[in-house]
Formats: sequence, C-alpha cells, structure tokens
Amino acid sequence: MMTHLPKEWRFLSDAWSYAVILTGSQQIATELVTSTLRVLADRHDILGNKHRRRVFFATLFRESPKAPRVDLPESNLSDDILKLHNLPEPGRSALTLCHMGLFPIDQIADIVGKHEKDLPELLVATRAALTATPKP
Amino acid sequence: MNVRNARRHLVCYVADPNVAPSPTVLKALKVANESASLRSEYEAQLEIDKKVRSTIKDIRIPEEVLNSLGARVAAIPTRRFNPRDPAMIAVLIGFLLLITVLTWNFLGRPAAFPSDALGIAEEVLTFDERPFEAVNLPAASLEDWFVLKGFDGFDVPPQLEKYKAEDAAILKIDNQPIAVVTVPDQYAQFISFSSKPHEISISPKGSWRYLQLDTENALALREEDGMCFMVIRRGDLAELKSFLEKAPN
Repeated sequence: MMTHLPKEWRFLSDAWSYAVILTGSQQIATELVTSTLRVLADRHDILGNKHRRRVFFATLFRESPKAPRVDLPESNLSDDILKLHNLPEPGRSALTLCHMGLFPIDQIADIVGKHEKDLPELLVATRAALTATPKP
Repeated sequence: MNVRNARRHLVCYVADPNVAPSPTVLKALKVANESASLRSEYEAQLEIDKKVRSTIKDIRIPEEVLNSLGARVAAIPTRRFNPRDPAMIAVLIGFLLLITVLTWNFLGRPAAFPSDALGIAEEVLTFDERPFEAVNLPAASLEDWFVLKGFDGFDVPPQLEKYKAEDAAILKIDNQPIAVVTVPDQYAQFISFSSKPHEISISPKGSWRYLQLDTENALALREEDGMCFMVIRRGDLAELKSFLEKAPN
C-alpha cells in the first residue's frame, strides 16, 4: 500500500529525483534525502513550507559532493539520467531545478549559490554541454 | 523588449504545457518570432528541454523509499513548548525588552529632570537682556508684585520664603511668562512658571527633582497645583539639597 506524504512534505519525491541526478545512484540518493530529512526535521527555525522546501534542496545541493561517489553507473539508471548526472555543477542543478518547476528563477540562483543575472549564461552553457556529452 | 533581453528570458524559461507563460515570457516569445536567429536558438532549446523533461519525469521514486520517507515524516515530533528552543528564547528576550521599555516609559522618564525645565534654566542663565527691577523683599512677599506685573501663581516653598530677593523680572521664553527672582546672598535664582504648557508633572506632590546643570550650577524643580518652582544655585547638588532642606534663621 502506498504511503501518502503529508502535503507539506510531498516535495520529497521531487527531492529524491533531484538527488538521483546529483549522485548518479538511487541508493546514495535515498541516503542523502534521508539524512537531509533527519537534519531538517530538527530545525524548528524553518517556518513555512516553501522555505522548508528551498532549504531542503539547498542542503541536497550542498551535501551531494560529500556523498560517496559511484565508480560505475548503476544498471537501473538510464543513459539520459547519467547524462544529466555527468553535467558540471552548478549548471546541472540549475537546469534540473528549472525543469522541476518548484522554484522561481531567483530562488534557483539562491540554491545553487549564483547571482540571478548569471543564470542565463549558465543555462546556455549547460544545455550546450548536454548536447555535447558523449554517452557513457 | 529587445532581442538580447528576450534571449535572457527565454533561456530561463522551460515550456510547460500545463502552465501558462508569464506576460514577460509571452513578450519574449513574440520577439523570438520576429527574429530568425533567436527563434532558431529557442527551437533548439525546446528540443533539449523536451528530452530533459522526459528524463526527469522518468525518474520514479521506488515505493519502498517513499514508504520509508513517509514513515520518517510521520515520526517527526510535533513541536511542543521547550524553553530552550532558540525561538522561545528570542520571544522571551523580546518580551523582557518590551517590559524594560515600558518600565522606562512609565517609571524612568517621569523620574528624569524635565527637559523643558532644563531649557528654561539655561535660557535664564544666558538671558542677554536683563529687565530686572530691584525689589529687596523676602521672596514670599513677591506674589503681589508679580500679580501687578501680570504674572499669577508665584508661590515660594515655605523653606525659601524668608530669603531676600534683590531683584525680579518676568521673562518671555518661548512666548511663556517666566517669573525670575535673584537671591544673590544665596547665589541663587528662584524661577516660577506654569507647568501646563510644558506638560511637566512631578509626583509625589511637592517633591524635588535635582540636576547638576554644569560644573557651576545645580537645579532643583518641584511642581504643585499647575505651577513649577525651580531653584538655580551656584554649587553642586549636595549643597543645593542642603540649602533646600534647612530653613533660614
């Protein structure tokens, strides 16, 4: 039977998808999302669902480089996902978050630690890199 | 909107069939339709975005992971009152600050020397024109003299009644009449004025407020029945207090 997340935590499935792109691994993505959830569950200073969601994604962005690296791509991830995973940051996150439609552009810039005016160039470069990336 | 601006907007825009574009994006799309190069760039972007969208959409969270996250969310304790909670500490500090400010307003400010009276004392000490008239009478007997000059309510506290006033005057300070009496043998000036225009109120009735005006002069002020009586005396506060407490022989 499927568990329904409360409304204010429904973004967790999107967060998991984002974490898969960041880590290139479903297992590490699960660990990353779980550890982030554990940390943020204790943060009583984060008020409001939108704020909580933004802090959650920013934490995933910040913590993902510390997650264990996968040497070999997981067999259950498609080539297209791995293409996204192999993009350089912060363009990878900026493009992914734009597609997820969870945040306006200024908040995406905030999450990836860039100024809003730098995002257009970053997105152009990332899309170009995506078309140029050879299949792994 | 020029082509450059339109490009910046379109690069950050991801077309979603379920969401209507914003007016800005609509303008940018219109510019793109009129510019071959921008239109071509945007069409290429649409192709890439279509694939990225499909890729992201295909990432499905496994049910067991969703169940596990759901269980963890359900286990998050609801927030209860905790005095060590930083938010609670912040509220407590704010509350204490509010109490301090209110206490200062209700108790501290009235205890301070009224600024209007301070201004009058400074004006009297620096008054350029000296319209004083010799009187040579005990201070207490000057009430009638002031009434004849048009000033009502000059009343000297009992302990100062017998001091001999050498001269007196009615000064106009901020269009308000101020009765001033000089008592040279005590190095003092007695000042009387209405408390109402200056909104001065001192409680308990008849008590004195003191202030060391500068290195040379000290002030004492009391208010009773709508009239303020102020003493400016050469010397320090201790001398002024002693002067007001002891009655003349």
